Amino acid sequence: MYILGISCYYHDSSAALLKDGVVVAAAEEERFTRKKHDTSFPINAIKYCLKSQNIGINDVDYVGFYEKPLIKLERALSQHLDTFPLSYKTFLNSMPSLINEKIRITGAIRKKLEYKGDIMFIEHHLAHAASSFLISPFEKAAILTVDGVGEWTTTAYGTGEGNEIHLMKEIKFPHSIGLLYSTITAYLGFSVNNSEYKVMGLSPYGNMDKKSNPYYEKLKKVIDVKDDGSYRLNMSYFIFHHADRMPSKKLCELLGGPVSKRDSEMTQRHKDIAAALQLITEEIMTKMLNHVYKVTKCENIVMAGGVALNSVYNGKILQNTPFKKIWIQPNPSDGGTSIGVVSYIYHTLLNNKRNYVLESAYLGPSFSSEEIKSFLDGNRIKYSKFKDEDDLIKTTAKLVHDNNVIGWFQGGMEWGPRALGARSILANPCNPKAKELLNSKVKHREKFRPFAPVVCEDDASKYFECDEPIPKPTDFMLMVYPVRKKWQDKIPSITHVDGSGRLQTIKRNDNSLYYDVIKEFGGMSGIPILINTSFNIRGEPIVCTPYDAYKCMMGTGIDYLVIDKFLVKRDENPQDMWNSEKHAKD
Amino acid sequence: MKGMKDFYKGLKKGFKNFGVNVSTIVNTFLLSLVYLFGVGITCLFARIASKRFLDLEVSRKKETYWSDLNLKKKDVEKYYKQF
Repeated sequence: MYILGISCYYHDSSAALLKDGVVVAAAEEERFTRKKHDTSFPINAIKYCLKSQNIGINDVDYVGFYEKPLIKLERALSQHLDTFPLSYKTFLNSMPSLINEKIRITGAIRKKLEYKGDIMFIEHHLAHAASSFLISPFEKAAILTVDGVGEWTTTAYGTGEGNEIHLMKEIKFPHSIGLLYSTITAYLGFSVNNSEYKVMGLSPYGNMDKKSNPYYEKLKKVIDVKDDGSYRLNMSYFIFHHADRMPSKKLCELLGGPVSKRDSEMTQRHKDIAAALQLITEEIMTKMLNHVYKVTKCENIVMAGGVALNSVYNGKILQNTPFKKIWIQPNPSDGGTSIGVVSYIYHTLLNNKRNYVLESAYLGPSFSSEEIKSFLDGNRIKYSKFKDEDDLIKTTAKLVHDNNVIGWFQGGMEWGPRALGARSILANPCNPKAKELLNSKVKHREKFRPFAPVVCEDDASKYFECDEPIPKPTDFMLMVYPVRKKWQDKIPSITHVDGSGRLQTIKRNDNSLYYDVIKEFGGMSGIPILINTSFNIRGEPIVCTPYDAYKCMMGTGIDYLVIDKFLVKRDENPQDMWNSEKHAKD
Repeated sequence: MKGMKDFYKGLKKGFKNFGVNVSTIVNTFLLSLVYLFGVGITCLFARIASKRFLDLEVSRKKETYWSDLNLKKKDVEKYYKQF
């Protein structure tokens, strides 16, 4: 039995395909269209999913959609009714897409896919909950979903047991931690639904002391938080419920200045605001999780929704709450709901036993050696072929050790926003200039943003103060832990200003080639850790195809491309394909 | 021949842009009417009846802001509906 899940028309459109209870393919549309956070109908992602199994659309038994569009329409109309006449502009902007696209999703699925079978609609937060619980290793778990907004729900908690999910309580729009985080993201001059992680990365540069950070008390005025973690926003500080902007004039006055312009310099004030926001978010989440534990009495917690991408907080959950085990899937935000939809239909609605745990994030397109060779030959690209796997491992490790920047393209593309060793850029973390080099030549991103390390799981505790046993979400780069003091000076490029690192752990049976390169590098440098950053430049989605990878390398300071069993040297090929500086944007 | 083709392409593009502009103007006009008379009048009656569509109240006295959701498996037929 095949079930296809679709998420689209808000942000991060995606598709996922389930075969007899196993997720066999999943990808976000942005990787194919090369438009970051693409919201459009995920036709390319769907085509990939079907092609991966050599099936046609009418071999699919059910198609599931990640929300109830008419309930979303009801919420949108309620916003306009409640804020009339302030919502005039957003009414004109949002209604055509709501009426022409969002509530006509059935027609779009039938027409664009020529699909004749059943179409099901799963509530947004239920899709989030299912995307986490039903593919987790837990038979029973507490569930917390926190995002910007679904239909009405912005936060929900409940339990999962066996095939069943029960979401018990909720907080409704417009009260939303996700939207609070997005509002401050917008206030600091970053793009909403994209750059929230930058604010998280900026926060350690600010004053993380609640007593002496003036913005902590100020920001507490905008949200009323109860002891059980439930909260409400003081909506006089926000205009997102009736405008296409988020902070109100009152919020600007409270924070002592107007909304920052894009790409403006980050002052200490900006950093302190980011720090205060992170402190408040962590405080709310801790209260909420403690309450969820009290109600559910369950030691396992699964989380989903955009807020579950707050890896700084994720790394503190097991220390700050009574939960003993945690699970977050590699793509916990809206893009990940397509997996939730297929799992919910198969396991819960059709009563099939759970037989699958999502262990690997490599669910996207892969390319055979023949396809890659044909691409290289067809484009007259100069390359060499590794003798064998051992040669590949040793050569790559040596190149990284010699401070080269490596584009690493192997196997199936990652599911979710993080590069996890299939479409990664690798560099030497022991090189004090690696961060500067990567930022200026390759990533073109803000100087304050740290780079992430990848370490073999068996070495992780030696270098990082991780939870024990190391939680599975660390494999998906979803947990930040302190770098042990002893090592901070030796691996400066991956140590953030507060001494932390957003590490990825890797097990040999998940990706042996990647694991062996790290170990080999460890043999040369004495430290088995690499910088692992996503294979893209700022503003672009992670590369998907060999063409994307080659194009990205030639337009940046990446020195070598290790693509399947082939090695491409940038200096040996014409470098005028494009100038990545021109394309680097938010 | 090439000149003709280019001219035809340009003409087609021009007509397309013209169509888009006309539909934007018509949409804006129609949506403005809907907003003014549909949303506006409903809103007027709602305000007279003290009906709020969004719950914006912040109350220091309330013990919790959690509200009941009770979302669990329903009849399969309900998942075929968009509401």
